[in-house]
Amino acid sequence: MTSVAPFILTLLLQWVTGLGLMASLRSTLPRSIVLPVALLLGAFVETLAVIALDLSGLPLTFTSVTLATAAVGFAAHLRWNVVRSWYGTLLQAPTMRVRMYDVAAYTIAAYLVFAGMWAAYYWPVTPFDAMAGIDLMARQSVLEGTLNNSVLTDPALAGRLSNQPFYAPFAMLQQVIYRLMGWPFGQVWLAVTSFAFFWTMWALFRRSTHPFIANILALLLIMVPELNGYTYLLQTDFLNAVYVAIGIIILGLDVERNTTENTILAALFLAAGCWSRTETIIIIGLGMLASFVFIRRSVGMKGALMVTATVMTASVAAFALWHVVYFYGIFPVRPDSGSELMAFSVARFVDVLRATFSDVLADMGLWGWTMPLLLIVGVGSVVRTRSLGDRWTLLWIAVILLALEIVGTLFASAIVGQTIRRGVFKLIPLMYLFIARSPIVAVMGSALQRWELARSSGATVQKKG
Amino acid sequence: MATSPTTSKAPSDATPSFFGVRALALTAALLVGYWLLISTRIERVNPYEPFHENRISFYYDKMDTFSRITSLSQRMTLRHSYDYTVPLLVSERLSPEDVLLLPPAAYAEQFTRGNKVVWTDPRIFTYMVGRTPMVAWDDTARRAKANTAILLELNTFELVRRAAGPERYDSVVAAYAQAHARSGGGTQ
Repeated sequence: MTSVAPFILTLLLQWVTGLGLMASLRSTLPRSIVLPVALLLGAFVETLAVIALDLSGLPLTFTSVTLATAAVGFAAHLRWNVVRSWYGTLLQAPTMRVRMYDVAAYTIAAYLVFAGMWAAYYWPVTPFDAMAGIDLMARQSVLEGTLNNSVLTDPALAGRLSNQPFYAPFAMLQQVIYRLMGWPFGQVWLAVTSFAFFWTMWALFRRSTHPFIANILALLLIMVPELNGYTYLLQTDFLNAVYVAIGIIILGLDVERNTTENTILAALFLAAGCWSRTETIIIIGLGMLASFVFIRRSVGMKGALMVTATVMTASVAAFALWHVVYFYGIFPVRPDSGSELMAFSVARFVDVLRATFSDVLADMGLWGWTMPLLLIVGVGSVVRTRSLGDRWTLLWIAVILLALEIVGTLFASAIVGQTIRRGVFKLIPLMYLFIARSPIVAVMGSALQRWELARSSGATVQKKG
Repeated sequence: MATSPTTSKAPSDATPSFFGVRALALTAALLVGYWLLISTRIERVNPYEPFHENRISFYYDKMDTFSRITSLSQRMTLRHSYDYTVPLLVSERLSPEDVLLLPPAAYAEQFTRGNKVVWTDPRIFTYMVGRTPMVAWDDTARRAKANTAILLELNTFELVRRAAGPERYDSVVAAYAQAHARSGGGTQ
């Protein structure tokens, strides 16, 4: 129980830091997603505070990490005039009206999510990759107060570390933070991340379609079997999916509104994606290239160049901080990533593609009804409305899939049944958002709305905020 | 230009009342739909029933029992079984001058009815009990530095030290090599 007070303190600090940064950036994100997005942002920033401490040679302790995060949180609130008016809008009375089926859906969701939260708290770290890699590093870092710890130089492990301890460090640093708090197995942060993630997606679904349909989609998202499993199993992929998907969605919201107001925020989320899995830099590079036309159409050539430069700079910085600064400047050893690389082969690409579709995407045991729903909704939308719907999200789904296939083709250790299977996590939230925003679901939502309001006594008309 | 969180709403502006026949009907539809989804077993059509059974329901059924097991060591044993207990017991019996030779996984798997063993990996051994003077089986360059081997038997083990009798130590190492060769790893 001694870890509960540090946990609450850390959560508050992450929230305040995230909110302060969003306020300083004058974020115009929909208010309904500000709170969970701020929590996720604060968690990312706290890992950067750990890195800053480590680089400055200060020992990693709960106190030092907390003080460093508090300093960032404080700095984020320095422009108090800006921050205060932003908070003022945030704290206005909520406009959302809870309906009876919302209560039922929230209850079911709480029941489903709590099981994963409890498992994340109760069970020790289980996946082999985590025990042989990120958590091995985290445990030793906590013991020695530095990331450059003796695991890297232990003769018993020399030449046997493979690439697991060198995975992009976000999940490892979360383990450091939570182990410093006193959680024996760390991983409680998975519960926090999944809670904030589902909250964000739910709010986005509600903005996109009728609340009843939004509830169904949110519950289906929570119940995606494979994704749900990793809300309590320590790996890098779920964390990566959360940040990449939200980064893409924030960027998409800007494009939709012909603005660049949330570019830095989106760039931070995508940088957090690179901070959690190495190959994400390829995905973001390809995605920004592919979506450039969309962004240019939305905010003009100058704006598009600015957005692309901001996103790529943040992502490359996150990538380089670990893979260049730490690998070449701090750590005495580094993985031999070059030996993993293979020459591009069309035959292998086709094999990887075929295996991805037949063994991974087509497996309903992994993804529930996600893929059939996506197909039905896509075809239904084209037939009924001659439109596919949310092309931004669809484009990024295609880009991520393509990038995963390229990674599977180029890297010997990228196995379809594991690496690509877990890489698909990034697609799942985007797929559900695509479904929520599809024309056919809009038609269904309107019909449902009319039916719900017809002869419904006591209907009230809400004012737009 | 906006500088605050936006508060514009979703497509619907009109809100039906909380209580009402239609609100009740939609709530019932949601609950019945959910119940059908998690309780109807149709192979290859409904993946949510096995998901709920194996993940959600399983945890709620066992939560009380598990919650009574608060010791970290017991939770580690529940989850990792011999991959936790063997390194723990071995490390407790090591003396400061011992350098442990980890057996190949194939040798350890003879005592687990073929179940996969990961504690023989030096990274996992280190993860379970912390840094220990040891040599991995496939670290042929450093193998001569090891002076203590683990002789496994069903449900027990013995630490065999080279200093106590080189022949016995060598016979354990030979057993390691045999198991490794039988598993297709070749002789090392």
